[in-house]
Amino acid sequence: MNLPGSTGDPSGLPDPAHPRDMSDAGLHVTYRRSGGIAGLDLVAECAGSDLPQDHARVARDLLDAPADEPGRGGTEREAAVVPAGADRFTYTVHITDGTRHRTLTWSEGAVPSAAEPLLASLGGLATPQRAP
Amino acid sequence: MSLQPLACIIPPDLLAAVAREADATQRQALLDTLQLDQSFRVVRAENAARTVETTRALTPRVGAGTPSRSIYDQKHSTATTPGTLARSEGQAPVADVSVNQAYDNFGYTYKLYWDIFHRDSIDDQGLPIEGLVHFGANYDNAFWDGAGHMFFGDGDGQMLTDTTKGIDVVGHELTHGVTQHEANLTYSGQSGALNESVSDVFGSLVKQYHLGQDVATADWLIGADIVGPQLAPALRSMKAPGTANHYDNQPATMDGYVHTTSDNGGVHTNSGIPNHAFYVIATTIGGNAWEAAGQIWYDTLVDPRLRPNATFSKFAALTLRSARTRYGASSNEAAAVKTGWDEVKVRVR
Ligand SMILES: [Zn+2]
Repeated sequence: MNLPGSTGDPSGLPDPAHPRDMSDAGLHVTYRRSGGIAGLDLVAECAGSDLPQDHARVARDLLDAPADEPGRGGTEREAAVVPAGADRFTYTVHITDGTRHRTLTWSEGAVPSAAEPLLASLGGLATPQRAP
Repeated sequence: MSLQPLACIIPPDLLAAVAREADATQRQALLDTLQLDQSFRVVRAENAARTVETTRALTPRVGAGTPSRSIYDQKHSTATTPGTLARSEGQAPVADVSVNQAYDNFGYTYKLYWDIFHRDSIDDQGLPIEGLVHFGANYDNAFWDGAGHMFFGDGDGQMLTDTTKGIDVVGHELTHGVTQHEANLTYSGQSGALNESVSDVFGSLVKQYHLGQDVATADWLIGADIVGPQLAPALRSMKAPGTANHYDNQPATMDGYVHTTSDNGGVHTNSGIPNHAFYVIATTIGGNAWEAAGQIWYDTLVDPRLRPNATFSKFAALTLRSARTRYGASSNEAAAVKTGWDEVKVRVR
């Protein structure tokens, strides 16, 4: 699950005594799933400390990864993403630790496997919103 | 994942060769002839403009008029290759309702394209129709993968239900394939909204044609048969964009055009504008929408002048051109087209 450039706990195992990693303090993630045949936007927003530890670590890894990191995938300009086919979802996450900010966008089907658990976690929290 | 342009293979057909050598007048006449006999894209390939072209013949395929359907059960996997073959062309219904719904609705979609526009499947060359049902777990979507497969989720029961149930939804997805093989409208911004709208238009026509509804009796809703309680009564309304459900904010006119980075530039939002133009045009002409209005839209979709990056205005101008070519410059149909685009405040140019 760790992405290249990870600074998180390499064990990847949740600590039952400390299920939330203190290094996630200040970490904040917003999520938007747009598109699909319904054209409905689903949004979620949460503190890193509200995410399962291993998913928060994915967010931190995404924040830490160099912009040209091949394993990171996605793009920082949504307009640059033109997916193959039609009616697929587009995922956008904004991650910040209070100092650094990163917005990443992936078309469904082009999500790096390392990011999938984080998107699944956020997707479970997301609620519909009238499209902007 | 990126778009994968396929090699442009041009068949060495005599007519195509003639068209290539012809002067402008002769060329237009040839284009018109070829358009009428539905071999238009052979010559269009001569324009060397499309990312997806296949070898095609000038005579109908043996078996043209009959689809070649295969429905696969993905068994809730998110694998994007076909799963277990559940029903193929000519086989009797099976126990799985989703499989049969997909099979039947693809059949109705093929029938509209064949009966009305003499089009033989997605590529007009009898391309096998492959539907993959039960995709994912509680998956709230249906999509075209750009490579000949249409995927259908079962829905979560709240937002969406079984997406195979929507005849207009199945028609919508197959039409994405038709669009890819024709204008190949880029799935972003205005061209992306046109791509979406074309799918809604022909999806709605599949439903209207199957039910025998004229413009007055059609409900002009999209997805009414697949919405759960959260999105009821429908995904979209071509008659009244922005009113289909609580979350629907589709504009009906350019005054409401939404500039956004979501959904590839709001392709499912701004499609309300050309959707409503089609509705106005079809209802102004009257009768059955698949006849004049549908023909004008189809002629436009296969018109080689329709470029992948077309704007609403360019598309509108080509619909007017199609109407004038087929029905006459001073026809009611051409006037209706002008009225429709005026109503949604798209400049025809
Ligand atoms: Zn679509």
